[in-house]
Amino acid sequence: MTRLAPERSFVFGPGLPGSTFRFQNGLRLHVLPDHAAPVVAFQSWFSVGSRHERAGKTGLAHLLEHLMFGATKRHPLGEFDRLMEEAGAEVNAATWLDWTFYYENLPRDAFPLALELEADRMRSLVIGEREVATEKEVVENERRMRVDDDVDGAAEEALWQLAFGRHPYGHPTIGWLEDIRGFTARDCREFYEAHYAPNAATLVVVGDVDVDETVERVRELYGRFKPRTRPAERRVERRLPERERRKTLRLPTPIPRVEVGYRAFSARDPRFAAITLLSELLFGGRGAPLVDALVHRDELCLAVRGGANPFELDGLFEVSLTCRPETSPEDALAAFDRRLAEALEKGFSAKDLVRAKNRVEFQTLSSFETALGKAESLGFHDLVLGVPEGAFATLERQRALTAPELLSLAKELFDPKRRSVVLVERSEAA
Amino acid sequence: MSTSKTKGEAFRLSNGVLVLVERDDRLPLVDLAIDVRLGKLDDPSGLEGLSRLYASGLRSGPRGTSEVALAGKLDALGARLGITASKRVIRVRGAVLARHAPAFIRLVGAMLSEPAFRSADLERARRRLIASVESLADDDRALAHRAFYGVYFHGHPYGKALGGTPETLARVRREHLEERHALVRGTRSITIGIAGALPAGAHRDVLEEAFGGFGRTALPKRELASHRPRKGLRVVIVDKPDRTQCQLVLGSRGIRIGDPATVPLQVGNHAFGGGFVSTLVKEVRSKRGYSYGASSVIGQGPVRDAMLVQTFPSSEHAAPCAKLVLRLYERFVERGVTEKATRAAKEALIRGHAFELETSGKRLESRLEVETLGVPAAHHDRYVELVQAVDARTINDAIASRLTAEDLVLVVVGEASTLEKKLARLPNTREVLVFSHDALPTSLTLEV
Repeated sequence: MTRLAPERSFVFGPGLPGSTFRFQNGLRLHVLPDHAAPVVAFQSWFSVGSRHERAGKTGLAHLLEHLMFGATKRHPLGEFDRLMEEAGAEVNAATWLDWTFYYENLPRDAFPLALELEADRMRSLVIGEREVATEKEVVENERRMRVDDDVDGAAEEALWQLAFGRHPYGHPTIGWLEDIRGFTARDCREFYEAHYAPNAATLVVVGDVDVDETVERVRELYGRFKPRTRPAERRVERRLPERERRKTLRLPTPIPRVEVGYRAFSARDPRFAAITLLSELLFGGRGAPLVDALVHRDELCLAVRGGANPFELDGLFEVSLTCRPETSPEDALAAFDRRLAEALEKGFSAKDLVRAKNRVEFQTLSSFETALGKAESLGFHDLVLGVPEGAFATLERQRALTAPELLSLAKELFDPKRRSVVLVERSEAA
Repeated sequence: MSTSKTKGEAFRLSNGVLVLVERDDRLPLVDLAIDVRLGKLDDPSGLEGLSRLYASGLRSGPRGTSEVALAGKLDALGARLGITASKRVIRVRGAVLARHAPAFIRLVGAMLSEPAFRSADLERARRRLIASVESLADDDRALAHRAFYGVYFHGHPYGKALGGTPETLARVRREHLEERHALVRGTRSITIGIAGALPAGAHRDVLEEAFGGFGRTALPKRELASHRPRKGLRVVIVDKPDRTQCQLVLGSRGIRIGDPATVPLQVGNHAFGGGFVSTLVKEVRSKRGYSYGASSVIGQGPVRDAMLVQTFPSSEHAAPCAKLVLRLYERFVERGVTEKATRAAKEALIRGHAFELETSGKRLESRLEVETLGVPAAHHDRYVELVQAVDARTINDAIASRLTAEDLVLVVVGEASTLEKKLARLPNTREVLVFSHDALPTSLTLEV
């Protein structure tokens, strides 16, 4: 068998060379050898998330993530977890709007086992009514923990629904409760068959491995899987809101909150790098103007956060105001508007820019301390931007940004017409 | 597989302060970790929260630098810095772009050596901490833990609201902070750790300049009385209306730091509730779907802390889940673990140990635990060997001699009107106590 040549080579940061391979069935593999510690981070990314679900079936991508830890044709229920645990692995998975990924952090000698188990569950999962019923209960409980009994979770869910409505980003990744309750094993099997295919997957291996051995083993285990035609995705036109949308929730909490979402840009948009820097300029740390004003000088809030998560389609720049018990959400929002206007009126000094750029550089680099952090960056940037080492290009773009560019972007972004607002007030029970 | 410890370096400043060093040149970052060996347990009675205000005072900056100016300086260096008070230690944890490490060390040195304790900063911090105490009513997990410690350790310092209440926080004056600082600065109260991309001398001169002014004398030793828990099962309901899910904590006695049974108990706990395929996860989550998660932990402290089992079932399943968890815990204490479960737990812990050595920051934290909390050095240096030496018999002997199901507190955060009768029927229940969720965070001790 001929040796598979890399599709491309890349350098991760200043000194770690990596390679990308593409197999005939469309599967992609990124390998980044790092021999500093005897560990391996192995991740399997699938380009399917909650945005690929349809109405009435929300939460399916996430439920399937749970079911992936169940039985396969070769391994009975519980064996995946047992074998991985005995191998000393840390195992978990995550589902979000655009993707789902599974990870194993392993001592290096357990990597072949993890590869075998991941390949196995990618095509041989057994999905029965009983397993689905149990996991539905677990997911219902997870939903209670993250949303129904969690004030911040409930407010965030309301914000995205308000901002996006029927858009694929308008429903929560965990799903609506009635949809979760209605899932059948057949729903899950159909979703699995449609989306868990080699041409929808990217494997990432970082750590104490040999590149050639890894490529050969992946070819042996995954090479036989046939690619699949994936369901066409609903096209979404980019349309900005024309007026502010507002909703009030009354929840049993002593702490009022405000969630504001400004329609932002896709992570693929070059302006996204500037948004990250902008969030640092305005909200990053004790010295940032909105934190300084609202938390420390006005003493209206316990915490103020702002930032945008990177998504394939346009997402939201979210601002969260955690009020002091005596502050009403309306007062907090009015103060936020006033302080934001003042900050933008004042503009950004050279010193502000140095502060924000240093913070961004520090955060980017510190996320690469572990093999897990490097692997996550490679997988995410490959899936969303198409460039696995994209974090460093983003950092370079951020270093070059000027104050006038950032100010102009801020004025475009923080347009009250393109925002949605959720106010959380204390209910009588509180 | 490499499982041996990584030998770090260490040196002492001219005043005897110990500096632990761990090197890692892969990223241009430096971690700075400082433990001040005075914590919440050292706060005088009636001044609970003093340590938190002291930590806030340090964070507000040294003389001549306002809080805002300090934040600007830290950000300009690309640094992150947190100062928090735990039971026994004030933890200063920072990281910085390596090119700015000397300036960062000098700045942190000034913060710890010459805090300004400005009145305006103190008042602001006090208001913020009082608001954060009140906001605990929003955090069901924190409420469950507060209720457990308040009832199980009633009459003992562990049972108090060590972070302070609005009343005790209001009593702390600037003189109290200065008095605490005199003790910190006048003694060898700190241990320093530095890790990451370091030059050959590991910034020794800069550290000397920044921390060489701390005193040479040893910090006076403090004793903490042990606690005698009451027999029987006490059920505690933290009444919180409109919950669809309940936080459930079951606990009993744990161990003290340095207990020779620590490693066998940790292996046993891994099998019972520490791992993802533990008995608790299998029974609570996988078989019954009662909860998204279930786990247990053996707490360690200067005197015996608590062993806790935690899970969060729906309100509907709270009573059967509580009954199940009680039964599983009693069975664990009575029967211990099997050889098979022991083998699996040992494998998981030994092989997973590689991650404890993965970064210089993690290696540093282990070494600081030894120096400041009194964790035996062997626990980290010979961890793999110690786990290998364990078998089911040693685990079960340790369980039999250290753990018990005879003094238990079960806490459920949820709606009392729907829970009280069902929970009162749990076997061996001595009493059912109900606390209001909004009164709990502001009570220094609980009425038991």
